[in-house]
Amino acid sequence: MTTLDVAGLTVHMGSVPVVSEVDFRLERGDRVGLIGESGAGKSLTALAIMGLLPGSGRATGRIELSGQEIQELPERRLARLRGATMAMVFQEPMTALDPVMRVGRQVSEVVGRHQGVGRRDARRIAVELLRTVELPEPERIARRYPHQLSGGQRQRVVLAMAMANEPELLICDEPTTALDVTVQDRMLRLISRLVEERGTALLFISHDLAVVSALCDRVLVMYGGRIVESGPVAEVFAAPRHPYTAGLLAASDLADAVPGTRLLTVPGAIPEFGAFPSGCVFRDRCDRSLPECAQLPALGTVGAERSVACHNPVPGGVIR
Amino acid sequence: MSDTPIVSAQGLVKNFRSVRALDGVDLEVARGQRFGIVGESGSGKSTLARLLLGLDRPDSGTVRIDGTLVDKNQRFVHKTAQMVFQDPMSSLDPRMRVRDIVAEPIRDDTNRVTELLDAVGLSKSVLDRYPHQFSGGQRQRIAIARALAPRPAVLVADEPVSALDVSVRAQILNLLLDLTVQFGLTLIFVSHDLSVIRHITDRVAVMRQGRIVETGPTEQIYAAAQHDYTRELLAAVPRLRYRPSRDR
Repeated sequence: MTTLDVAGLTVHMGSVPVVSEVDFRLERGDRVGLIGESGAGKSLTALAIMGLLPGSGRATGRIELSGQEIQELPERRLARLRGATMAMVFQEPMTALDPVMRVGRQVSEVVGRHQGVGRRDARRIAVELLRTVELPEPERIARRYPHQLSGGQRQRVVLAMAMANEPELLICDEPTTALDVTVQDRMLRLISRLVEERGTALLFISHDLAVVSALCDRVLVMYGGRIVESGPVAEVFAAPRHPYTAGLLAASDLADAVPGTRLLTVPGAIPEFGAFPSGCVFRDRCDRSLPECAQLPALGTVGAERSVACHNPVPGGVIR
Repeated sequence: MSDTPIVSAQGLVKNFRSVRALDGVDLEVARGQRFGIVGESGSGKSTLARLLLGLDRPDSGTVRIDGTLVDKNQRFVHKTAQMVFQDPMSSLDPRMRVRDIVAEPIRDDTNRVTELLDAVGLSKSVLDRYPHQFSGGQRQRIAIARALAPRPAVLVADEPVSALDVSVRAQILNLLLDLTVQFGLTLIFVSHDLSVIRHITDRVAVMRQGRIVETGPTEQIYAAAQHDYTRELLAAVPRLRYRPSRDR
């Protein structure tokens, strides 16, 4: 069953296109990583799906959530889906938490709003949810305010709120980037367990390729607002075809480099929004660019489940 | 006297109100070493870095740079050891042009500034621009050029690549490695990122709750950590499960 079907999604901030013609699909239980560096358009893609684009942002294209077209829905109806059918966890938990409300009440409000249960039942369910996200002594935690919790505990509360109504789609935007490595490790295991138990489709946004390789089955690589490569994580990371994916992998892979030696990387810097070159968005940083790269390459299939948008892809067949 | 440590600390204790940030730290960094200080938030690693440069005073204990007590001779310290921070925007004056930012610690001529910019991979066309006109990676290059201006023997870098994108992070790590060789620098590299520390340092101190729990050659610690906490940290580092083979 298809949980999320995005087709031709384009986002403008003012007159600047920041996400262009993005297509992808998540089936029930899929775990898809959306990777790329800052300015790639990852977060704006997620916000467009949630209907949470900031001020001057507007989206066009088709977004279907469990068979329902939601791109054109009025805010009043979208609000009913958020927190129920789809939910999102951000990098900074305080964006989702009210600093002056006890966390138990914040969780029980989400439960009460969408499940139509009484206050007492909502409170009981909230404590259970806090237990589900592996918070110690959930009854005590429920009475605390956000500032009385550690960063990792706060992020667990946010995850409890996101999972409260068993959404069909969970979007996580760099949920562990601000956490210490041991806390991150536990949080990733928790996300993994929760989506697996519930068959939730997961869209996981990260700049950290190692995290994505541990958590996701498929990956979408974004650059300059476009998906430049997609496919199963094992195949894309083992044999990247887009030069950007290859460069990103080389730059990320500190464990495979000889300590104290120069790392392979992508030269130059990511342009500002609206300053990407015409044609292939990556061609001004690409060491494989050809004259035809002035024409925009289509995202074409390579192998059964893979696609790449490149006129001169990195050689190497699909590794099984 | 090249066998005396270029940086040494003894019995460093530092409290912030009732919180003990450093709880008795001893440290020796040899000349030319790339020394890593790794730990999670609250471990005291940044406090230690600031004390090493005399940017803060310990409640007790001493720091020596090249044999000189840090709090006795600030001018000597500023000439000998310089620091680069995580967010270059906070250390670069937004109202100053690049030429003045880099020249400020030395009051020197354009040739020297151009030479420094060249060393960090920037052309002299940037001389008259302001910090906000640069990307994060370029700003970090400017901050490094400025730090190198007084020809320091020691460069302390506190999370210098944590705010940068992966491709730019690799560029800055390459630059720091090149500069340590080119200028014979001693590098003290503070980070929460164990993968970065493993790549860039040859000796490492692992910190937890204001103490160094383990120290030794980086390779040895990553291969066979002795302390439980170090093992726990290393086990939590996410690893790339699939990677291209290097010979392709």
